[in-house]
Amino acid sequence: MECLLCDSPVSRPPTWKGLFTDRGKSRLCPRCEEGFVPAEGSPLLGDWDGTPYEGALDAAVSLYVYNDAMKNYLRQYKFLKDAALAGVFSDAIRQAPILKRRKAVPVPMHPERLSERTFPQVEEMLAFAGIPFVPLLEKTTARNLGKMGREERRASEPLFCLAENAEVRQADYVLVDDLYTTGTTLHHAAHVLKNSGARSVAALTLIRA
Amino acid sequence: MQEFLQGRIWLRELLPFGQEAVDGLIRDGLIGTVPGITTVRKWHGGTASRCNRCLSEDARHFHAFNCRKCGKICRYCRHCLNMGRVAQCDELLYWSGPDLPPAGNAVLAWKGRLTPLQERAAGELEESLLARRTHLLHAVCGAGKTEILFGPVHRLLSEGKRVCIATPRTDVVLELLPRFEKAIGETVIHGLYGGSGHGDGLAGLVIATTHQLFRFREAFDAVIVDEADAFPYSFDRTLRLAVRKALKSDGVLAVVTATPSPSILSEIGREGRRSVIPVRFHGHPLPVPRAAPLFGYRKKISEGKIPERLKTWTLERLRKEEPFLIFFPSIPLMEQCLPLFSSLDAGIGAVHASHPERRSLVMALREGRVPGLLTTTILERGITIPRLQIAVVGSEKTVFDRSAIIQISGRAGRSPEHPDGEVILFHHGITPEMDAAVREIRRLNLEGRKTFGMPAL
Repeated sequence: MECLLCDSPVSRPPTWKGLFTDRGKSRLCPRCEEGFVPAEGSPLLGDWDGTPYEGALDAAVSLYVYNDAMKNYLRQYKFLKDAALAGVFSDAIRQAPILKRRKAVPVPMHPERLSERTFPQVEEMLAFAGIPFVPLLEKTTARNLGKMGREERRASEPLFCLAENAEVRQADYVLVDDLYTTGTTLHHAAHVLKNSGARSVAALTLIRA
Repeated sequence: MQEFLQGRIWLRELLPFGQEAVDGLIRDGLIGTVPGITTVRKWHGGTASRCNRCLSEDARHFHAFNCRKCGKICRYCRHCLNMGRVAQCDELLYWSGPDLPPAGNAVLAWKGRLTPLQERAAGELEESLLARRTHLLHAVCGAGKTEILFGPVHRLLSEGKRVCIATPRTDVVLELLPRFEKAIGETVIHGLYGGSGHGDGLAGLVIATTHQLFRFREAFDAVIVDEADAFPYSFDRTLRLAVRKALKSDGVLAVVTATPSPSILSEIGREGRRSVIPVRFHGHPLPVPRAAPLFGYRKKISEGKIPERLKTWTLERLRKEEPFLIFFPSIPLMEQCLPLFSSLDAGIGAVHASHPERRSLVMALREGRVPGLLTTTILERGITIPRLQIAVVGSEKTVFDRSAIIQISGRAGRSPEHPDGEVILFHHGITPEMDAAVREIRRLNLEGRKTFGMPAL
């Protein structure tokens, strides 16, 4: 097998488990894997105190820090549209405790951007990890937050609305996204869910910038 | 648009022109389209995917996903992903209208002189290229291959033909480009490699890495592959196909190498011509590598000691103040050794392919600011440093095959003032590849002595 990122051959000792399942088999070589550094602590939600979005998120967890390896990964996955990379972090996502007893809700893309990208990056990741999810939200603006400044982001219009036929229950939800930068996306999304009757909303992001 | 697209094959989304203009030209039949990925029947009756840009048919290179653009399960090619993704629902465009001749009237500005052997080879190469016959130019390391190319390339350009010099290494493109720009004037020359941009105008001469040829289709009247034995050209089938694809149907292929491998020879075929230059431009024989046993070096190194013979050799070089290179089969082993060598002399550095200061370290060695370098095979070609002495550690490893050892030996004794240098192969058992390399060098020296009356070894 070749490493998904650097294409060098990977050989690992065979295991009994490996005969029956692909779970726990890394698709990366040890060198590439080392580049990803797990994030410690959780994103600061206190930044949002005093805004209408205060308390929208009950908890947030990021798995990795944003470093050069991550930057390259995101570039290849999102910019070069390498859909095969959706499975790279399957194990880490599957083992995240925050997903326990919560329903996963992927943060959606705008349909226009989706047809450019050709695949929804967050949903693909969840599908690869084998985590069931409910698409409850819809994105209303095609604008890119990445090009806005911090203050501009915080003051932006609502970014999401409920999807058609979406049924938000009195349940615990966890929003899943790739990046946590200022938290605008996640707070907006959580706000919509909370207002529609969700009991609690947590957030899991792959990366914290 | 023709200037850009003629000879190229390009993803529709990445074309730097408006989509309406493109649609118009497609309707007029001036631009042809092919789907990005097609399914082909194999000889065994099964089917395989083929990427129409890089021509890969390896199942490992394709990944299928649920595409939201075409709404189907769609495959894309991961082999040439870095050039922009080619998926099944993407279209590749090429120019199918009448061709424009390249602009300019090439002038040979180079005023140097060739040795009689170089001159003969240049004449033979030119003759073959004009007669559309494949040609192999087999010239030893340091024979002055680039100068041989000037004449024939200029001749083709002046007849309004498009020529490409392709090489597997970006370093070589960067080295050739200024030399050709100086030697051949009044013509558009493009240098293409990963991250170089695409150049303006319709180039008569393109100097490109073999990877960049994925982006060409029926573009050139002649493709000259330089350093054809270098990785990855020798290993990657798709690169050889890319060269074929970049040639016009009546185009001609020439291969320049110091170590023709069986696969190169088969590419040249029976009808291809061959010119051999067995001596270097200064007329001195190639240094013959000497094998020296270094049994159990791996164990010794992991114990934190430099094997005795290697240590003596290095100290000797340091004492005589001769620049030296020590080749290692792998980066981990080299990095393990670096602190050990640093204790002999703090200036000794180490380079590998992804080393950020690779170029500056090599410059430092050339200028004598560092006494020597540890390296992987990355420095096996393209390095010219007077008085260079060479050791190979672990020459029994598979990375040191026949052509690698010949290339490495070719780094020594390149200057006319110091035509000899030591090449020593420290091994844990002699391999047939090592023997083959030594035999080949001896044979070439013998041949060279016949043609030139050089002194016996």
